[in-house]
Amino acid sequence: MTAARRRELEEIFGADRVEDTPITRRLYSQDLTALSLVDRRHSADEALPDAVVWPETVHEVSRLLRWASEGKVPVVTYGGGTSLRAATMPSTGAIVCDMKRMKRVTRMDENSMIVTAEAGILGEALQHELRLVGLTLGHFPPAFYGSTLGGFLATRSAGSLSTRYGPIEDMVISLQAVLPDGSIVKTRTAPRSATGPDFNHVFLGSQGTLGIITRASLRCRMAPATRTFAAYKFADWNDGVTAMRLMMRKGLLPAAVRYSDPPETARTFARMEDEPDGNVLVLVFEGHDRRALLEASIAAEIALSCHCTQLGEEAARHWFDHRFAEAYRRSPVLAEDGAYMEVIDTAATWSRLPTLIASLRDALAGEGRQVSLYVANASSVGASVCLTVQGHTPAGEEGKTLQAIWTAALSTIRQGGGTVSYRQGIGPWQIDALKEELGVGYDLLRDMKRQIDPNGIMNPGAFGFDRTS
Amino acid sequence: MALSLPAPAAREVVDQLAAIVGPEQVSVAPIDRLTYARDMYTVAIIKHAEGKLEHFPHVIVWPANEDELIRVVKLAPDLGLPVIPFGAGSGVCGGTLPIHGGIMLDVKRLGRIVEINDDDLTVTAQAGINGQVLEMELNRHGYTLGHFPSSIHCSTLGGWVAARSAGQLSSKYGKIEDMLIALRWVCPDGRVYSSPIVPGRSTGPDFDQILTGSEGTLGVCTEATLRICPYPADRRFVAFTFPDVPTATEAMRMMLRNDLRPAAMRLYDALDTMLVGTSGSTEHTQGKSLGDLLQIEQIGNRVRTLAPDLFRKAQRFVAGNAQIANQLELLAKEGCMLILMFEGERELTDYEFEAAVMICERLGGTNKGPKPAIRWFENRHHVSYKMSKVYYNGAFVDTIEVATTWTRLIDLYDAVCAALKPHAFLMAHFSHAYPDGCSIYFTFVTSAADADEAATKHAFIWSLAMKAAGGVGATLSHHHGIGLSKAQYMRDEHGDMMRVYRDIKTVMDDAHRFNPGKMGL
Ligand SMILES: Cc1cc2nc3c(=O)[nH]c(=O)nc-3n(C[C@H](O)[C@H](O)[C@H](O)COP(=O)(O)OP(=O)(O)OC[C@H]3O[C@@H](n4cnc5c(N)ncnc54)[C@H](O)[C@@H]3O)c2cc1C
Ligand SMILES: Cc1cc2nc3c(=O)[nH]c(=O)nc-3n(C[C@H](O)[C@H](O)[C@H](O)COP(=O)(O)OP(=O)(O)OC[C@H]3O[C@@H](n4cnc5c(N)ncnc54)[C@H](O)[C@@H]3O)c2cc1C
Repeated sequence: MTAARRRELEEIFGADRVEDTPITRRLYSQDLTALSLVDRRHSADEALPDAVVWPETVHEVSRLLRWASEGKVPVVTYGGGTSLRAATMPSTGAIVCDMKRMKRVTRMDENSMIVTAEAGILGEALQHELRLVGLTLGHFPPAFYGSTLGGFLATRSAGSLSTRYGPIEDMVISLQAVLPDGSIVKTRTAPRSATGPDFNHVFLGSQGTLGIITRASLRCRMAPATRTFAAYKFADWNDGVTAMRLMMRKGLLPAAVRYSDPPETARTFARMEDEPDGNVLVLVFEGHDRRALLEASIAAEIALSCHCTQLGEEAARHWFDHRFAEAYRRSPVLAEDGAYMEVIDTAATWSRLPTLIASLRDALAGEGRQVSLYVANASSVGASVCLTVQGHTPAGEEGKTLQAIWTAALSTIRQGGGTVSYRQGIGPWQIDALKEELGVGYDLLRDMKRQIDPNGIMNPGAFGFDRTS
Repeated sequence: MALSLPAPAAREVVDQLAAIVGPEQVSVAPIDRLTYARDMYTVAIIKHAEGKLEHFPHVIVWPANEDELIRVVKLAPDLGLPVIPFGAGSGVCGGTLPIHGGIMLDVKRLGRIVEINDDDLTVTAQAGINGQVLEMELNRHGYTLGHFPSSIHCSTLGGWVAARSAGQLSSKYGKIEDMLIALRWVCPDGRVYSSPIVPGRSTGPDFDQILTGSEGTLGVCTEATLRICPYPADRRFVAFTFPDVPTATEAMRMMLRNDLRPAAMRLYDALDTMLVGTSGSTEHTQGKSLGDLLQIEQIGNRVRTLAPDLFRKAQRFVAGNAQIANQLELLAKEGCMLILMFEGERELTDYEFEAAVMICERLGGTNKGPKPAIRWFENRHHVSYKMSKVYYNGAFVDTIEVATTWTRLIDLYDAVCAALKPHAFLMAHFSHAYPDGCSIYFTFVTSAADADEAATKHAFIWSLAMKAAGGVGATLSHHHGIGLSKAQYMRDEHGDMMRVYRDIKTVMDDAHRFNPGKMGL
């Protein structure tokens, strides 16, 4: 970065909140995307950002973007960097805007159960503040300890209890954002409204392409008074799918629905004594004592009518207590040459789900590779599935293997009526499939991006929206 | 009275449209142009009655299917005419008023149910389907949409989506945007947007939620997929009275906070309670609220025949003397009535019912048993249709539906009451409640000598209401939309976010061909 540029940034942030040391630039050039992690093993090529800045106020964000728009400098907004879809990978010359110093809870409206917080707050920190006043957001994605509110919003994240609490977009009431030209915009904090399009949805899922989200107000719920656990084992995979569907149809709202196939069951319960095997459905109900018990007993009746055996609640508790360990299980696999691991998620309506899952299993099966999957959340309309593909190839082949896995997965998903991404967002290798899924909707998103960000500074390359591509 | 309307669309225009939809399905007949010149916007109704409407569509077309509709949309630029999507014209904000003339694009012939999916609990239907027809067809298959706007008999699915409609059971089932799974939509340039039918996705911003609420400014909805629910196996009713509004709203808040989801949850303020006569002796009292005041129904029929002049004068006096009418509140000894209905699976409604009764009783409610609630349920669609009588005698009525968080709710109620009571007879109910907040539905009645005075007075009262509501941070509409009548307040509501709306408009309809002059664009 030129000295002049650095000075301009220092004018906005002060010297200590602008960094361009090689180590910092390197740190921020990397997220948890499998493809880029394995690439790094064998190639020194990397796009480094010019600098990292840490805003503390919305006005600083505004000044940054105005400056960037004028100079046509790319800006990559960075939350926790836990994206698995290369969503924060900078292009050369970019400024990374790390939001984590904007982390205050600015308002706690206990009466209306609405919390307002800055976008850089970590999921866990936010939940902690809520717990102090007897509330919960109910948003518990696996990377909860290291991901931020802004990241949740920008990727339409969903947590492990989203069957009851909904994905993040259902929790958002209003937000504040800075447009690429520096103007500060916000939406109204009202339970619902009919005053035109819902502008929250311009920013939700935008993966940093339309501006920077600086603050949001979210619906919370009462912290649960009780929690009940149950687990069931199904001989036939599809019977378990039917059981979940019937529970949703009955109007039950378990906090968690998690249904694992045998390899996934083996992974999930590996460290448990007397670990279960087979197709295991874990249910967690929480909320008011009587309600939770009532729903659990209705659910049990439904499950048992679908040919299963009841397991002890220990298995369900084990999953619940260890659900954040997922994020940490990845690292050993990824450290080793030749090893790879990828997580693919999709969702489909109930009528399509069994076939989609079966064809994904077929399409992804291969030598020296394990495919495991679980249903991660359910609604009356359908469910989401998370697949983990893990294996070994000769060193140097990992990238190619991963590409092949993605190609097979995406075409199977497209054919089976699933979505290209349920919760992780869109990486560069998913863009063609995204175009197919959205059709004209893709063109509208692209045109909207170009209109709102005519200089193309916000996360260039994301979604394939660039003029050049 | 002979109609003298501005010139209709030229012969060649009609011919070109007829070539697409057939000659029967295009009209420039004065009666059609007059009919399509207004929706249910109060001022337009009054102007219509006095023959003072200024704007008329050039032509009305009724395409039979999406293909014809697309061809009409693509032809419009050549004809140089605006396009106004039209559902059933039940909108109350002037959303379909052809203020620049143009092609009225009536979607009603796209009225088919495409699929009811038993496994997925979804219905896909064309946008022009009438609300009641859709619900009845679902009932026949054992389902409900759970969407019951008072206008269900006279509004369309597309209109609901376009204006973010709310039904009476929104506390349980949500508003239309909460039910939406996917859309088909013809863009202003004729391209077809179609979103995937999946239970959720992270594939960039959800454009469905940008098109929803666009009220004809971003193109035409042709099809929607919505989630449905099994028809409720059980219903439980109960009503409570509370000494005042704050006590009663506190009970509502506590129920929702504790995860209860009554299908219906309606609180009437003291005046509304007295007038809806929920404790009244006749079966049909509910729905005659304004009737009771302005028609003086019980004795009115006799008075009307004996002394029609006197009757009219009495009515106008009440409507014209807001302060006096508002004093009726002092007579409202009942306090406020809260009506609750639970529906769904038997075991769950039993639980919810008992939990709700406990909360209401603990918070000072008096249990009035199921009757008032049952009476509301049975008459729930009648009220709106009785409004028209009010107009006969120079009075007029309108409704203002604003919403805010629980914390600001009473401030909102007080602010609007204080602003409006000097100028109009005003009552309110709270009929759409959520864990985080609630909407307030104000009904005001006042009178004017003629359409011009009515328009001025109407605008004045609305400006006071919008200022009061905006002042406490409330949203300016919960479910009626913006249209023409509230367009001037869009800037107050959205601030600089209007730029984003304009950007989207530029991308989709740079020429402002679709529903020009609306939504403050
Ligand atoms: C092991 C593991 C499991 C995961 N499982 C799940 C899961 O189950 N469900 C789930 O939803 N996600 C999951 N994720 C993905 C990830 O945690 C989410 O996408 C999360 O929301 C990203 O948050 P972040 O703060 O880390 O964002 P980042 O990774 O820093 O950024 C993600 C995207 O959001 C943009 N962004 C960040 N902050 C802002 C802002 N303030 N304004 C505008 N744009 C912004 C970035 O530019 C980028 O495009 C998982 C990740 C890991 C490592
Ligand atoms: C007696 C009465 C009671 C009412 N009660 C309620 C209530 O309880 N809840 C409630 O929400 N509303 C209520 N309303 C208001 C009204 O019914 C709603 O706004 C309804 O959604 C309008 O539907 P419509 O089909 O009549 O639309 P229209 O009035 O024809 O159009 C409304 C707007 O949507 C646009 N539009 C219509 N169809 C389409 C389409 N297919 N694609 C794109 N744009 C389109 C129009 O251009 C216009 O801007 C009531 C109205 C009346 C008269």
